[in-house]
Amino acid sequence: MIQKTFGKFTKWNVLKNLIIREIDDLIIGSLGIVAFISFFVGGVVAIQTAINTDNPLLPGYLVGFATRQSIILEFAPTFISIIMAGKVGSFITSSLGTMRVTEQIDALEVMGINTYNYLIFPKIIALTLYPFLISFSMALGILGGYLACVSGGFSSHADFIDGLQLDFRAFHIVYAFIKTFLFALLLATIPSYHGYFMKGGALDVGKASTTSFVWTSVAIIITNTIVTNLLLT
Amino acid sequence: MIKINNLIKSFEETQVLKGISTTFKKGKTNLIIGQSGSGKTVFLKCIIGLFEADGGDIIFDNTSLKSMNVKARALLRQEIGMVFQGSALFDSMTVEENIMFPMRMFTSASNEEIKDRANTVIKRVNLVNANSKLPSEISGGMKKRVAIARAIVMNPKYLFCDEPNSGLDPRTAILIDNLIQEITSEYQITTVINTHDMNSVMEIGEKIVFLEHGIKQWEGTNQEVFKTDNEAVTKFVYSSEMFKKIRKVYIDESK
Repeated sequence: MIQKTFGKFTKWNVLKNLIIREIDDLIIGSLGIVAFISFFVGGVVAIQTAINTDNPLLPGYLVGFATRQSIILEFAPTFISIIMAGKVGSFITSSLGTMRVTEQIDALEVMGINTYNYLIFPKIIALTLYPFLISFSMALGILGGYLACVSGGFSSHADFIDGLQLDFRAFHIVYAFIKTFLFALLLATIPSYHGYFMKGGALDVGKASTTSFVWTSVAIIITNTIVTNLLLT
Repeated sequence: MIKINNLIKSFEETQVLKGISTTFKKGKTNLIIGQSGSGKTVFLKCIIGLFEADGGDIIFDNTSLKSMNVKARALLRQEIGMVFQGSALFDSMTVEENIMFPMRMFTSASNEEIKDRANTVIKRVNLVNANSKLPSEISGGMKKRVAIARAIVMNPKYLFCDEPNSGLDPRTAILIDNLIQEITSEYQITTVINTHDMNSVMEIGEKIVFLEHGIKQWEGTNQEVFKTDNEAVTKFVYSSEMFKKIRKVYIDESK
């Protein structure tokens, strides 16, 4: 499938519009849910950390530090990706599955179009912008944590900012974006596979979406474990 | 003209097409009929290249499909128009965009030229005030018209229709049949229609190929189908009392 996706390219004028539409559907269309989840989960992570580390022997900056590490290393790249496997992945599988069931893919093939390139390539290109979505999630998660902590009286402004800046390693950002990029490829290809090769009727579109979500999530978790072992240990 | 020689197609252990040979003539409406499961759709999909045949050959105007390389096959596909059973219109595009789509993909014509051509075929299939509507906003009959318009916008040499009047009311079905026949004759297209609609057989069957269990049982015209003694054909075509009476009247009148 991947080989055919990068073979016989669709006319650029058409492909350009398809890529723009996919960016709108997959990236811009996900900003709202990512912002909402990141902001509030960032707040909860900070509050939970503050409540569970209220020992006076522990430094005040710990809350900011733990919030930053949790969000940058795991929450934004991995858990947002699993949420995206549900949102973006299901969208990809169901839209391709519906095209298969209603013979729209056959119609493209009869015309002599490379349907892999026409349908899947724009999704892969659109999802190369996925790290942008994760940066947005990181920023809003930390902002949510900061506002929840400071406004709730769990930490002072100075302590939280100290914690955010403490022992900052740029490689952690590199690590987060390496795995984000790999997750983006999984998010584009696994749901596309399940949608493109779907067989059956309308009911099977729903089943294919569920299967695609399960396999994408499993692949993300396994990839996360492997990448973490390779890069951080 | 399309010539089929001894076409064979199997799926795993099941042989669906068991050596079908026939010829579909240019400017004629050629019908493939048969019961569900007789191999009609597989036969049609083999001809248009959605399935690769296991044996035999398909000859498009003296050029064998076997002898064509990838580039030649791609060019051949641009000469093929296809009307799918469910119309297969692209949901995200308007009626006009659906019709313009093949030209956008395969020609270097300007936007205005493409629009002009699209409007010509829109008029030809009698689509009124539908240009900016989405497929979900139009009726089944209109969808078929859009599918026909999209199929003929590139001036195809070959037109394939998979049950073009399924799901339509009898009056619209006849209108669609007549439209296909008119277009076939007007543009001198080789049209192949897969159907089990007996009205279509009687009305537009200039050549009829009857399939049963993957074998060609009979072929002839809509006039000959009245006279045939082939048991399989008469059982299938005259399964209803109404058609039995029509046949009797036809035979009595021709005596």
